[in-house]
Amino acid sequence: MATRVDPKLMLDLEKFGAHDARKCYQCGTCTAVCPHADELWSFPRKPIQTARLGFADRLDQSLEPWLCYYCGDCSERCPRGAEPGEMMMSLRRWLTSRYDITGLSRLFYRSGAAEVLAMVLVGLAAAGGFLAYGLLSGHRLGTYDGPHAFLPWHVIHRFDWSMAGVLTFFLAINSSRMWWWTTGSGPRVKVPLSAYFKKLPLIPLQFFTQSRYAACGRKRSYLVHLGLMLSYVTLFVLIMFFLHRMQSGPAIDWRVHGLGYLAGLGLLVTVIVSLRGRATQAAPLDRRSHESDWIFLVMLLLTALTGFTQHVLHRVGLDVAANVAYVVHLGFVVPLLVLEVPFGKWSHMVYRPLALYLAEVQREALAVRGVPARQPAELPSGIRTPIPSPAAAEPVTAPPAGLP
Amino acid sequence: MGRVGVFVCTGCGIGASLRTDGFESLAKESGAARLALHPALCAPEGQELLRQAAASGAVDALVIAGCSARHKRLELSFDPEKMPVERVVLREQVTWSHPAGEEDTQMLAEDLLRMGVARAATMKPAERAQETIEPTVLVVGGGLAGLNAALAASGLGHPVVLVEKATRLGGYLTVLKQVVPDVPPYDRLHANPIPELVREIEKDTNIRVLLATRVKEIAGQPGQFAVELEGNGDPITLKVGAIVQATGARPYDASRLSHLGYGQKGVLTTAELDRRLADGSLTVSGSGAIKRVAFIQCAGSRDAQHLPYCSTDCCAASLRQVLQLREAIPGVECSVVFRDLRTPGQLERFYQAVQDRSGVLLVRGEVESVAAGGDGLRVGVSDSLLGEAVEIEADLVVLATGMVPVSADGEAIRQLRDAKKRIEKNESETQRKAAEALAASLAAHEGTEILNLSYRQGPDLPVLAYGFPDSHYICFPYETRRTGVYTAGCVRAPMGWGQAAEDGWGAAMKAVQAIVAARQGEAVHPRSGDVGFASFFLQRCTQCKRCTEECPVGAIDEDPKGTPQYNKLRCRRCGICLGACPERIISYPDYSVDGIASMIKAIEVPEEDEEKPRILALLCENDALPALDDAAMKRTRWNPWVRVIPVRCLGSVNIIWISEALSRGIDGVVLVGCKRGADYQCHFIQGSELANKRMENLQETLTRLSLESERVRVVELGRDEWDRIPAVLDDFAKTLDDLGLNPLKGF
Repeated sequence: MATRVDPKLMLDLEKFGAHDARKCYQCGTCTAVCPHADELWSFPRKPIQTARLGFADRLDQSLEPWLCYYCGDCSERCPRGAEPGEMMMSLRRWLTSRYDITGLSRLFYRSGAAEVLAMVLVGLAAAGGFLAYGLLSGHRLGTYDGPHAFLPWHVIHRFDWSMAGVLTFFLAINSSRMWWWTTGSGPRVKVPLSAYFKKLPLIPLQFFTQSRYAACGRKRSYLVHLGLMLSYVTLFVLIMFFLHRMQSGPAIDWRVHGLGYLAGLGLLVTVIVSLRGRATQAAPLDRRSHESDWIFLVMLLLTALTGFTQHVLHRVGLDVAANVAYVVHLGFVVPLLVLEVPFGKWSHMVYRPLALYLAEVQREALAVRGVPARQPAELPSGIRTPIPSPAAAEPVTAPPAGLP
Repeated sequence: MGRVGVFVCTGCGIGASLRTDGFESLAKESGAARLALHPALCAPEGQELLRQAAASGAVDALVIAGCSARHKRLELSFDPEKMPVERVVLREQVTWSHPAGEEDTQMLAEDLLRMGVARAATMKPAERAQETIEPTVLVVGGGLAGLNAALAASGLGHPVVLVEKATRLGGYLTVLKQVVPDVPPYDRLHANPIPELVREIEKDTNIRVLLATRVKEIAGQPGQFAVELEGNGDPITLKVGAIVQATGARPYDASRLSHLGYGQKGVLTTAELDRRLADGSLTVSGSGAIKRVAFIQCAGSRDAQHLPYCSTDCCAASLRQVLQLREAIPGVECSVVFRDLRTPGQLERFYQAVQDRSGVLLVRGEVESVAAGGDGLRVGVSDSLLGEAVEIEADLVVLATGMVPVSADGEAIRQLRDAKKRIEKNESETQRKAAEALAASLAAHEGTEILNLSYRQGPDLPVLAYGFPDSHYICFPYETRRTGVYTAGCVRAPMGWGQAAEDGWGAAMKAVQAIVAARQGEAVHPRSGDVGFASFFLQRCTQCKRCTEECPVGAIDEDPKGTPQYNKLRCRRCGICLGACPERIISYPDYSVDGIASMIKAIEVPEEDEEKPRILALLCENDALPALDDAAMKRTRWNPWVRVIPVRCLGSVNIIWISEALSRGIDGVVLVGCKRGADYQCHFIQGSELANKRMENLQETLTRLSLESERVRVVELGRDEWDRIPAVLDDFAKTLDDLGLNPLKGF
């Protein structure tokens, strides 16, 4: 059954950042230079063609966009300026919006204004809510820590955990959709349970080391990316589990605070480096920035800055100012988490390791089922002269011995 | 027998490689009147020596022994009306290609000198034609190429008559508002150039435009064509010097493309879409608004069942239509299904510019089906980039059909004329009936002649592969097989408008060259400047018609009895008639059966016991001889028993030369000519074919002489294959060695 061509998909993908993929003339240079493309997972050429023909279902089933870290080698080598790296990035944005059942992701990616508006609304709601809580609960604005703090740690903690629960819920649903489309429904191969178990260690490995990114050959980008992610995760763990120690005073608990300063500094530095890169467009990866990229980094920067500010104000004894800064900080951090983690750029923290895992799971399944990595290409009848492969030209098997 | 002066140049190492002390007596024995040696004949002093000899009145012909005749052409040339010159090639064929001082080398040089003297003695001064030559250029066809040809010829100072069968100028392009770009940055459509060109033509008082007019007859020869035109009014007769045929092409017959959906509602060809875009009838047709358009490239092109070739312009035309449609119908989605998108030259940029726009999808693959479906048409394509079947929905499907030159009917017209003649002759009941059936089946071609040449060989230009009237597309674009008639534009080869415009200029310049050459009594290419004409000793003619049939340019007509009638201004001096004539009554002043035969006779054939075989090599002057020069320049060595005689074309080889050589005891004859076949490189179209045919006829003679057929060999050699020459000659020598010496030696 022939698949229906739908030229509208490319128009849609343009909104997600794929402005140049139309130029592609399918030479395949991008695939040839990509260190991650192989016979099983071949990209960027193929996904570009799939997208141009408008095969949305086929793209839903694909993991390829997540296997790319956007080192930009393909875009540098592309003879047509079709920016294959940017196309892969755009496909990741598009897929994020496909996985998302709420439709918010699609709304935000297609409209930077809508995303900013949502951020502002959620931010105001969060800041307003916490301010109202502090004022209504009768706590004094001048108290920063202790059980009578303006914003006591256990309240924040409860809020954090309930928020984490909601976000996990959405991410779980979206991730399971990704799993079902790409692997569970078996578009390529039916996966035995054993394969899932065997490859399970890949998820933490890739999450914490991003060792595949290292193979891209852009050490600096890799280190910045890894540093940003580890800083964020460290802060996340500290806040989720050790908030009471972080907010306690006046003594400094260096086990917690030392780690927190390190991670906070790491976050600040990596975010500033990333922003600077995008502003100066130094590396190919930085040449094309979607609105969502800017919003994400700016929100991270503001979150980190306000976080530091409130902490420093408290340490120097300006608790009123510290509490105000804390409310502002929450006005940034809440929208960042609520909107970016499940519906925005940050979701790739889950999707990418999952995709890397599922890709290897499928490879394992194919090996178990004895399916060769690539089916011998069956040429469509219209193609008249297949390029003879050396194997086809010469008979591989010698006649059995003993026969005349 | 003329008195011959022999001048041997000893420069370029010739003197050092040979013993020249015996040349004096050799010249005397050969019958030469005079011999002189000079260290540099091409230097002013040497030239002066030659000029004095020529002016002295003591010699009738010169032998200049030195470098190849392809070198020092200016320095060593003399007025052919006064002093015939034979160039003996010592430098390339002896000094550069054989070891100095050896006996075989010396014998080779001495043979070449003898042969040169013998031929020079037979050469006569040429008589330059002094004819009245009409400077007017006739341009047939008022399309883009024709308009450019008219302007070009007029710009070169020649009066032009421009004939167009339609009622207005412009040809196919008339319907277009815009055309593909031909100036930087090549990324947008341009205004149609036709209106501007027509204005220029109208302003030019040197150009006479005749609309709604066809050519009724063209008789005569270059410089003196008598043309009869018919239009609405009285027939017009005029004289013209040369003709440019720019009659264009027509789209391939789409009714044969039912497999691509032609005939179904909503399926058009490129030309049909152009017309509908022009008259605005596109938007109101069909069931509703057109939102999706699919273009199918190579519709009936590059396809063995239809046109096997690429028309080079259809891809650009479809891309142009994509832009035009997107302007006419905002938001229309266009898909272009192609096998290879071919936009030659700078049009690559145009293709990229179209590809860069959104709403245009280029799909590489093969169209499998076009059928009604959905609310329009469905085009099934096997996409060759993903390797799978895809389906495109469209409200309109455009088939990009290729070009068929209007000259493609020439063969059918010729057959129809033959059939009519046979009906008239009424030789037998069955023959008449067969002829009538043939004529009936070709009735559609009645009256479709374009030039209506009153030549023995047919009314229109002979065509080559695919019906294009080219004659030698590798070396001579615009040339046809009718001297003084040149083709331009899509009738010559499929092309876009930019190239067609250039083509008009090219063909016009060729036409002007032909007129100038006729005025000076000189041949046109490839023997440009040759002033000798063929002469026919008609008393001995047996009316066998071989010369009239084999002449590649149709120079020889015949009277009702079959006696050849030579139209000398059509002649390109190839000598094929000379090779064809069994009575050997045709000769040129400097190239004759007798001249070459006397060269063969001048070769000294050593006795059997000396074990020194002799091989005669007849080399085509156009390709094989220059290749031999190249081989010598690279100091390649070849067999010293070979004696080379250049011939104007392998088709000009008269078989008497072969039997003469063999009966004199020469061990074998090798004929080296141009490549033949579909991609032939023969400047006279069929030289190698004719040589092969004649050598087959020679077999009878060989049997009579009790000689092996292997002693004669025909070899094809390209102009660039200098490195094959030693192998060609050595391999033949080996074959002869295996056969043993010619038993006729010494008889």
